[in-house]
Amino acid sequence: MNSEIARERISYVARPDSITTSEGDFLATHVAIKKIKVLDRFDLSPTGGKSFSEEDIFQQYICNPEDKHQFIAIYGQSGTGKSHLIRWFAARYEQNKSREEVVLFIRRSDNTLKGTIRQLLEKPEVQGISNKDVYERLVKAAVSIEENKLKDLIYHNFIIEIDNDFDDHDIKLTGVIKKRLAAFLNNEIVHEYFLRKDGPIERIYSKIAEHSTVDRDTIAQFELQDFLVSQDLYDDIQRAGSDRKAEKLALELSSDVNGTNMAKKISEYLNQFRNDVIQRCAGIEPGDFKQIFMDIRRELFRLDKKLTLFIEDVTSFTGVDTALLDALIEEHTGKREGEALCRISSVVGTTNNYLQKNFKDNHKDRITKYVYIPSDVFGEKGLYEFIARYVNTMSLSEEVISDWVNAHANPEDYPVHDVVEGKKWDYIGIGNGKRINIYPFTKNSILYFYNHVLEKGHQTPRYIIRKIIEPVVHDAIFNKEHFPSVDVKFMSVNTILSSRIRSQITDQDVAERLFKFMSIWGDGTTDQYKKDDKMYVSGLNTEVYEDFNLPVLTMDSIEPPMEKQNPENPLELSAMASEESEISSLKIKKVNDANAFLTKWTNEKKIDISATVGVGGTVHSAVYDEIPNYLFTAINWQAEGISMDNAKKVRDSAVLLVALEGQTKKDGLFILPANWNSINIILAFIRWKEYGNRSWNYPDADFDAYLITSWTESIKSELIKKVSEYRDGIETNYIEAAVAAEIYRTILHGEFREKTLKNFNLQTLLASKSNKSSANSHCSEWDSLINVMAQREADVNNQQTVRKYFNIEQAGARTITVLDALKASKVLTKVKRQGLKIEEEEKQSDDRIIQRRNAYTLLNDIEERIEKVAEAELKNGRERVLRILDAFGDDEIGEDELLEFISRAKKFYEGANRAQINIKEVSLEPIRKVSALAKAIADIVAVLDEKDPLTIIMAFSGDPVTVIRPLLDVIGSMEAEVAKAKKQIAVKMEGLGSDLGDEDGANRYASELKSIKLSRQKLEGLVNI
Amino acid sequence: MFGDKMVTPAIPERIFALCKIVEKNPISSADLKEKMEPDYLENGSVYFNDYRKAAEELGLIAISDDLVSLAVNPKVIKTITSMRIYINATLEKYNTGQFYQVTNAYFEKGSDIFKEDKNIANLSPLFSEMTGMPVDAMAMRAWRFWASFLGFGYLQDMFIIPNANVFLSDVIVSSELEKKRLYSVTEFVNAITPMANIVISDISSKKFSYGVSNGLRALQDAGRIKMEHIHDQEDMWTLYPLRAYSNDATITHITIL
Repeated sequence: MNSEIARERISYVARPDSITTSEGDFLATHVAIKKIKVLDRFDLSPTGGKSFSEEDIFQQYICNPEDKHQFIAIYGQSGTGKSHLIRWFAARYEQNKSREEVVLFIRRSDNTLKGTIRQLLEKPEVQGISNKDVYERLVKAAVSIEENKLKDLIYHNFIIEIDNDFDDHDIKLTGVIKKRLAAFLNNEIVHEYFLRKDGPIERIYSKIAEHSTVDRDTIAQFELQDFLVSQDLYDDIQRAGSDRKAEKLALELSSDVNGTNMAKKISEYLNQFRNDVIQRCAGIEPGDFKQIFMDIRRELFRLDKKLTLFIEDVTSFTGVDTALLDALIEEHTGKREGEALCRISSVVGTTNNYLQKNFKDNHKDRITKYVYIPSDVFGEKGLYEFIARYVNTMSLSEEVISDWVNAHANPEDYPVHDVVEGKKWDYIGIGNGKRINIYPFTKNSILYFYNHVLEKGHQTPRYIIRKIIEPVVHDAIFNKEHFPSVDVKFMSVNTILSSRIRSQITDQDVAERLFKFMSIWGDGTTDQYKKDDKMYVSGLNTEVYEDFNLPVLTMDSIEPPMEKQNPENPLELSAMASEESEISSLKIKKVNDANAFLTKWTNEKKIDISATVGVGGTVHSAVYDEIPNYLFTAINWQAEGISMDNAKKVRDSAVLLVALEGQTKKDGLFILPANWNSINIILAFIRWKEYGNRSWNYPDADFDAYLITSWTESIKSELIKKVSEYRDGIETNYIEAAVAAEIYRTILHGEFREKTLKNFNLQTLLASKSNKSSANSHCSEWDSLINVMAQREADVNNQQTVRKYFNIEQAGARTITVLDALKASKVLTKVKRQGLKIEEEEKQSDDRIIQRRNAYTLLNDIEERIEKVAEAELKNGRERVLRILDAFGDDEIGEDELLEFISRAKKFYEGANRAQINIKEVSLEPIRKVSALAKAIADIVAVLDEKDPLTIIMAFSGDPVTVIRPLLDVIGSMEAEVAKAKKQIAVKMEGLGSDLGDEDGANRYASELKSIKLSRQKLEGLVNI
Repeated sequence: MFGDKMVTPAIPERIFALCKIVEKNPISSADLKEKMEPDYLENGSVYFNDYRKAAEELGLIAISDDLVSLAVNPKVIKTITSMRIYINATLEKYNTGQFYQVTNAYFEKGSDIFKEDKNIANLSPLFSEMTGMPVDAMAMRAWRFWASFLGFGYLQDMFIIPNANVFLSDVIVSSELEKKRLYSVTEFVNAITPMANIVISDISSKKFSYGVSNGLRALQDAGRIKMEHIHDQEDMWTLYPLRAYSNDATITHITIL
């Protein structure tokens, strides 16, 4: 290569569109095609049969030796070189044509309807046609609408067609679907989506607009894919608050089941309006075009001329294609004879797809010959030559090329550039004893790019230029210090080579360049050998490395290989042909795909592995399952001071143990950087799963096992730090919150009833027995808090956390607890000392490990309510205890006072009984346990002035109100009965009269007194006698 | 555990926790058991004797008049890592025990271990045959805990992947090897073998097994040692060949960094 010249010439020479290159460059880069098929009937992808060279076709058909009306369709996939071939035919024909022949070469350089008509009218032979003024005015009235407005116009014209569809087309939609479709297209998000770059409207726009960058073989129509709605798009539509009709259709189009069918139907339905919309937006009517063509043929007939037409691309005529085809297939004999049309021989380029779908059967039937250019138009040698000629042409000045063309472009005079860069690189022979240096390519790199960079169907000249020649040469000229920097997916990473490079080169960029160079430009092996006094590494002469300042590493010495016999079809060589045969090709492909996917990640620094299927699924499985599962057992968490409870909580959380740099939709504790080392680690796990069926029993597993174990040691300390910390530098302390919440629970449930935490020990913490009593006299706030704690079994889970945290676990044995007694005591002491409080700033309520955060959530639930619970409980207790104190008339009630109370109550009942006062005797049995009563009263009295909620709830933990309730009942009953007795006594007293000397009272017992007096006198008289 | 049969409950973390309890004051066996496996937990079975016995075997504790006391310098149990280094330095004492013999056979097996069952418990017949002593499934399950802890390999579910880097790192620390000094491989091996015969049993072969080679390479990758092949040196050892790691598996010198 001569980069000084090439840096100027590359943009002119390496043009994927052959029509835009100069005549000289076109001829200098031309490689003869030899695998062309000629058919009488259309076949989408013909195989077998005889192959023709381009020269054969030219002589037999293009030259039209029988001088007949003919229509030759040249077809093939996009980019196969149809235009190139047609241009070559046109150029050759110009040199061989007879005098009466008019050659029209319709280019697609401006690739629009009007541009095409303009080309026709510019021909000198048609300057005298009738109506020329009218036609020119039509063409010159260029669409001067700006791009966005024109796209909008196209888009809304489709909606207008839907709204005004009276079911007079072949494909029909129901009224409901039509309304939904119109609403869908009217949606702002959908509008934006359809008008996006490379979207469907841009495709159609390209046929109308004067300038467009859309692939020239693109057919201006809707495709099924345009209407498939992704989940993201659906979410956007929904978020934007769309019309319900639009939303319904979007939902249907997003369905895995019916979405495809519906999308297909809609795309076909809308394509029916395509021609109308294009013509309307371009300001041309179909009749215009046919008329122009007929006028041209009449004019030529008048001048006694014949027309040979080369149309580079019939897709340019989208919108009037039917009219054009009608005009072309119209023979000059037969029913039109009287119309005096000239003979026409047409050579028309089209894609397979367009020919199949857009040519009607009556057109296909009248095509004279079908000339098919297969995708893999070059053989291996042809491919090398194609690239060599491009490299050569861009290394030659325009003048040198012009001189050659002007001297009839004889192959034997073909100029070859003086090599400035790459003298030690490969040379390609092109005949006539000429050899072209192909720096910056090697044969290996050409084959690799052809096989693996070009997609199937894109292995065509256009893509060879666009995806291979242009980027690689550009890289070598303008970015030499980083060469090769082109983005290439690796079909198969030679792990051994990769590791060998990375173990010797610390600069990651250099290592990546070298690996890419050795893998793609070289043969990807770790072999080195000496041949003819030259050292070869990875099949590359070491001087080749020096050209790009790449280091030459020492590899495994081998004997120089024998000259290779070229395989029959090297272009289809499998990248993994050398792999061990015992691993299925499916699995190899899976690993290779994952490798390519991960390589893309290292380039883009972002990756989405949310999918569980496909290549994303392969990596997903490694990151979500294989890696964490391995690390969970490989790291001895307990020995590293991490409770298994914490380790398991992290493992079971939504946060990945290890995530990938730039991974969307998931967070991770340890981030694997997007580099080659990480790829090797992930691939080792994938191979373990795929090749070894979850074992290390597969070829080269010994290295994979080494990789992951040494990697484990290298990340262990950081991973342990991440698991043991809540945030950088802050240890996780959820166990303190869990212990505090558990202590609260035991108090609120009455499992711990002491008035201070002093005696709250490990036994209470780890083995408290649940309180069986169901009824209680707690306030409603107390019961409500217990219910809150029980929601989603938060209290039970928290209890399990506390009970498991201090267990020194032995994997596989779960029932036996062996306590880490020191740690347990330390935590409990701290929590007690802090009065179950954790300072706000020390709380880890936003811990991203939700299972750890739950302890804080529960404790927060308790703390938020505990003050009110204590207040309400105290009020409840105070009311009752004051009632007792009032009843006793004392502010200190002990067992003596209670016994006195019982004794006096008994006396009361005895007195009432004696006085025959009728009252109900209340049983004193429930209050006989005076010690419990006294304690309950004392417990409540002790906290009457207390403010600390914990102290208050501890006072009420044993539910003292329930204990004093019988006493309150007795007091209440007694008071009622005393009142009743008093009433009865009053009645009786009333009957006795007053002893205050009132008249009625004085006379109440007068008769009895008189009788007593008389009786006394009688008795005294008897004694005195 | 080390002197005789391996048992699963005697895991290193329990031994460490036990040592930490007796570190300050001797305590009766019953009280110690009550601290670690209190009756109120209602475990049903008692593991205490297994790990207490293992701690005693390792010389970490002594039992006299039923009083359990620490038998080593408290520095030994300052951290679980220091305890591990101590144990790794003393393993040769138990070279007739089941643990030693199985570990020795495991390293001898090399990378062929990958061809065996993934569940180490199912390899008891293999190790019985290799060691010439009966090794049952429970013993193998117990072995995995210690093999992992002492740094002979990495536990993956029920399998141990050989890589002795942690063990080798420990014995290097315990050896008299000086940093930054170029040792011939034989000098290096002689310095560590009093403690490392368990993994380097055949010095005359001058070959490092797969697990030891992995360990040495991992230490080199971590910047702990540097292995070199200095030409024209007769004292040469061969690492297990890993083509991806290096094209030269022979080494003549090692430097502790």
